[in-house]
Amino acid sequence: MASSDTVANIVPNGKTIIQSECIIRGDLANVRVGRHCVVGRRAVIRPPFKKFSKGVAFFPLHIGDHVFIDEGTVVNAAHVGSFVYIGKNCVIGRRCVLKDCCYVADNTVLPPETVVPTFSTYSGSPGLFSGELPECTQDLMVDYTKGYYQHFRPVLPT
Amino acid sequence: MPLYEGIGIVAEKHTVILDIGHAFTKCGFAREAGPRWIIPSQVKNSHTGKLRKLWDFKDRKELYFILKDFLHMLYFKYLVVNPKDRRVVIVESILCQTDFREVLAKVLFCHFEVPSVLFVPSHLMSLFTLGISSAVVLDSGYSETVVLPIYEGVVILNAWQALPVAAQAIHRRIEAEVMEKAKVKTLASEPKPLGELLAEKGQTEPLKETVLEDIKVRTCFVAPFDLGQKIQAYESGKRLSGLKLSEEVPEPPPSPPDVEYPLNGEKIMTIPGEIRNYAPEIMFERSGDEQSLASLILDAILKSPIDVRKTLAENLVVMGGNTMLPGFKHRLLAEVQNLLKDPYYSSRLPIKKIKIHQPPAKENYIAWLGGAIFGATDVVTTRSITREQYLKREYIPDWSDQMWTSHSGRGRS
Amino acid sequence: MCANCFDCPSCMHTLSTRATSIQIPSPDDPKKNVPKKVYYLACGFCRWTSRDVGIPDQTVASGGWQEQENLHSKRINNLLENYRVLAQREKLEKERKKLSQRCGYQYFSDKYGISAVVARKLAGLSTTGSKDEESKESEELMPAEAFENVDPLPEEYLTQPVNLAKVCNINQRLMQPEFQPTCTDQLFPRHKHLLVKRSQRCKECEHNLSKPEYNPSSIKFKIQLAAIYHIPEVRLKTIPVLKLNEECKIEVTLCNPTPYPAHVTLLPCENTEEEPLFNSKVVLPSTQLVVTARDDTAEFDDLNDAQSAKDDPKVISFRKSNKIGFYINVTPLKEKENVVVAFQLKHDFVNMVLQLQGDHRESQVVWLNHVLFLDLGPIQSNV
Repeated sequence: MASSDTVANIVPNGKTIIQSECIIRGDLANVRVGRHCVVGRRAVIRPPFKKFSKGVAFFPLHIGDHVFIDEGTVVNAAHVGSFVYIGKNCVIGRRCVLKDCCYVADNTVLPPETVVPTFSTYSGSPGLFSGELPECTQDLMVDYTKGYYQHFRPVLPT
Repeated sequence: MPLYEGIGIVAEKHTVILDIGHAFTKCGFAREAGPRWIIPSQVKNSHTGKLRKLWDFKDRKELYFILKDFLHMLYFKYLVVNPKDRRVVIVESILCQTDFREVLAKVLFCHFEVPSVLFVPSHLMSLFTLGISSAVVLDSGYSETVVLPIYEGVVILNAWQALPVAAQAIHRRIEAEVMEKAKVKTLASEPKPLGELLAEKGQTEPLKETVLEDIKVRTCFVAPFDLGQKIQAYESGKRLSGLKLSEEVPEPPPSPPDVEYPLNGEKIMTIPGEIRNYAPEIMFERSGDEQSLASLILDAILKSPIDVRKTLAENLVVMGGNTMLPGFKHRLLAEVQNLLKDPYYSSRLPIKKIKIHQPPAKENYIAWLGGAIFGATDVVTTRSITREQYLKREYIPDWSDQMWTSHSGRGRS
Repeated sequence: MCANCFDCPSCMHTLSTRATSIQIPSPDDPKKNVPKKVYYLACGFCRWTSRDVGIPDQTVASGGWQEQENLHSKRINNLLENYRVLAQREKLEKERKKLSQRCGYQYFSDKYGISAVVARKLAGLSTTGSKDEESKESEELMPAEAFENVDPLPEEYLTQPVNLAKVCNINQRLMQPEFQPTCTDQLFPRHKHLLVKRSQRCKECEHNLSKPEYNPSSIKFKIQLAAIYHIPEVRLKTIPVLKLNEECKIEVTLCNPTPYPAHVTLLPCENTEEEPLFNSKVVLPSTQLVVTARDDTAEFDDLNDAQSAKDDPKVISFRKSNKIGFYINVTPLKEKENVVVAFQLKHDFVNMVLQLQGDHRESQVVWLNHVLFLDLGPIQSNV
């Protein structure tokens, strides 16, 4: 988890749930997470870096609204749009761009710098285009993340 | 490669050329030197998400839905053109089922609203890639091998020959042989026969067709004539001794090196070398009715009129994905020449020379290329069945059908 | 196809351009070396690079990559041209003669046979005619030559071990249909294939049904015609343990997405003999279910408004804004199959689009019927 000096770098918006054992590397760069997001257990969110001749630079990571990231997934993307679903045990490579309303199936490995377009599903290793999503994806994701929030019962420390 | 000529910007829109094979579909545009895509002839069902092969259909209704999904994928994912403004040329085998072509036409006309469709026979198309007009054409694809002689552009239909020996038969033999002889190494255990390993897990379907195909494509080859004869003698001798019919087993022929084939991650299968040339041997074994790929060619020539036989024998065209195995053509020629010495043929066919053509394309898309050349001519406008004609009759003429001409008033020109 | 982007020929991931610097002799002083920036293509997934197959590095970051040349393109163009001319000539001839024609498919090719060309050539010019004239016309079509011998199988197939990592698999081959490389050192980058933006129109009235933009929030005029906005949604809430021939209670929720109250009736479904649609018995609520309209503000309304609950608790399990829960009773009748039940959902549908068009007549109410199948999963085996 984030230590106290990095907390200011992690900005989740309202009604976002971050499950236990997640790692959000706010010490590397800013991480902004939108509203109504869900980050599953053991997921790792890590701002991407790029190597330059003079060294390495980290970039801030933006995640939109109503994004669902399932258990055990590693997100190294540069940008994750809104209404995005990322399945279990995925690896989202460095500086990937996930546009709004897209779907990454379980166990997908997206190589660095992949761009996932709107209304598409990606799967496999390397992650390749495998299908389309309906136009109402936005509403489905809103419904899904809101439902998750409504049914979420936090375990309070005893 | 003629790429990006501006999709949909050019005034004259090139005809779509389709060759829907049992295993692979070749698709692209007329006037181009090669197909844009060669994709497996299968499609994901839009409702159940299951992969369906195009040719595994129960009835026309089912085929309609499979083809609808498949063509949708073809037009919108692969070719990326609007079906409404392009004519279509379908390259098909003359043995194509009537059901299939009729449903295909229905899907194209009624669902995709294409302006016109022209069916052309694949064997004839191969000649357009060569600029010749007479040949005996052997097409060996996935499920069957078909030989058809063509003289001066006229198909000698009654001389056709077919044998259900093609890629699929090779796959079956690889499967049987690998199950029996191949050993699998894992990190944890000693090498085990593949059959045993799969039996342990209780899998019903052992190796996927794609794996078998991959083994064939990457490791198999057709042995030269002499070695091939030895392999056949050895294998049949083994079988006979197994049945206690013969004591003698000939010397096993020298086998090519084994291949280490990774199955998945940690599992490595050792494919014995002899499988690599024994599996394709199935094409040249004269089993059952004494037929092999070589005899098909000679029988087809024999059934043709006597005065065209010499021309046919000097113009052999070989196409189909199955003929791409290394060494295939060389062996086929040797087999045909050897068969000519057989008393049955030597008494009837006094042919000295067998000549083979080398079309300007890979074997698996020769028919497609012919279609692309043919489809670039004005014939597409004059000979196609237009949408209006189809909607009026809802009927696709057969090869030998005269009905259509009389109905459609095609005789006007 | 994209002119500038390439896919990896080995794993089909998009290639990225890498910059590197090499030492080249300086143009001013040949003895000195100066660094120069060059670019090559590399795959971030499988580490394939354009240097692996000997494609020279580029001095500009994008474009300029050499295209693979089809060896046969000249010959194919020649064939194309000749057959085109031939077909055209045939067309003209036909128009002139207007003969009653022979027809049928077997026949149409003989017109294009080489014999026809030769015959016409002979009738017209002598073949030894002046060369200038010939070159003016399209190049003469030479029929292909056949050979008595073909290259035999290379010896190394019989003796040399195979390195599978160097032999292309079938996908890699078919990705480049014109070349179909057999060895990995013949792989060539492939132009990136673009996906299309999809739009859908009604087949009959040509109305645009969906027109997704790359950014879904930027759709200016959104006709919400997806079923999710109009048809009551049925979801399974709880499934108890299913046992053969035992009636069990299944809780199902019904959600009304429209801004009008929905009146829903569930009706049984007929099963056909030859193709059974469902395999279990279902007892449905006999009353009409009324679901209140969707209200976007309900989410922020924390007050739990006690609705005029006159519902039978045996049928309706809960009510919450535009959602209700109700029970159906299912009796599995088949072993070893997933329990599937079917019923009809009859509901009223208020046509909102008509109202939007400013028609001041009463909103049209249509009753719609849908057949629903619920797959409840396998039944518990008798352990």
